[in-house]
Amino acid sequence: MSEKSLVNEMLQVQLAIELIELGARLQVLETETDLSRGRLIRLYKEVRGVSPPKGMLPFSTDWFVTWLPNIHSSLFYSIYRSLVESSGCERMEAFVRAFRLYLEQVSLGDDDFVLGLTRAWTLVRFFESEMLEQVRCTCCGGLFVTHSHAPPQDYVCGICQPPSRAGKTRKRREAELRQMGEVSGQEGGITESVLAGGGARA
Amino acid sequence: MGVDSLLDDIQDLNLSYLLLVQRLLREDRPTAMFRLKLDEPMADLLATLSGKQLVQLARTNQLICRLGFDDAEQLTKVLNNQREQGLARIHAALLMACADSDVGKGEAR
Repeated sequence: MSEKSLVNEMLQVQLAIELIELGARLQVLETETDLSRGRLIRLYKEVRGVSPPKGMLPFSTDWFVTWLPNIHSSLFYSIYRSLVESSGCERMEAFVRAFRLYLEQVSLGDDDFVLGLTRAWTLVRFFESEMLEQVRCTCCGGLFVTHSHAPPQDYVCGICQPPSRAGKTRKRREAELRQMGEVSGQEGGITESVLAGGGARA
Repeated sequence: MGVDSLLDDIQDLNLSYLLLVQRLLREDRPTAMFRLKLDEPMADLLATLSGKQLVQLARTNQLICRLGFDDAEQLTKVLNNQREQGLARIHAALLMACADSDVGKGEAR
């Protein structure tokens, strides 16, 4: 009776592998699968070729409401929510699919991946514990991640009304300088120089 | 360009769309439903249509699929953002992704 179902176990291993490939930390795997810590560590080493990083996960809702992370988190969460609500997806199924869709969308542009898998998972958990919620931008009508119980009136998102220093990072400035130096008006310029600078993977 | 060629283009597009729908649904149903903005009954129906039925549906003088944005004002804001930070693409994707959600619409929760 207490014998574990082989099929179930295989599915769990499959999920764990998929999550590891997408960049999950050990804590995510421990919470979302029934596999033992020892097996997860072995699995991680086999898939990634290195030991899993140690240490705590970032535990703050604040990161998700800062300018660029907020935009990326909001995109990811809207995709996740749509999958859960309208395609009858189970939670983790929806999560993995939403994360892949997010990566796919971001890779279409010259944007860096701002939201890593572990962050995305933390985001979902914060929503589940009602520490974060969605709010509608009164300007563009899009849904954005915000702290729970923040007043929803007059909310304007960070794309419609970016903070004054938004996006003026050193990396971007360098990329622009380099592009100016190249003189060529090619469209792919920024993409290439940003990629050469190494995409920030959270 | 003659009306005939426009009609051909519409029908071609209709058929390509329907074939794409079937291919996407076969590959990964939930992901396809998100990409295509289809609900479950419609996804189930379209997935089972025969080739003959697809051609039948495609043969019309109207386009069978709709725009993913239903508010011109909203789309204007995405495209004409004065302080654009290279985020128009991600903004458009975000608006389409949350188009069906009722959060924050009308009465406060």
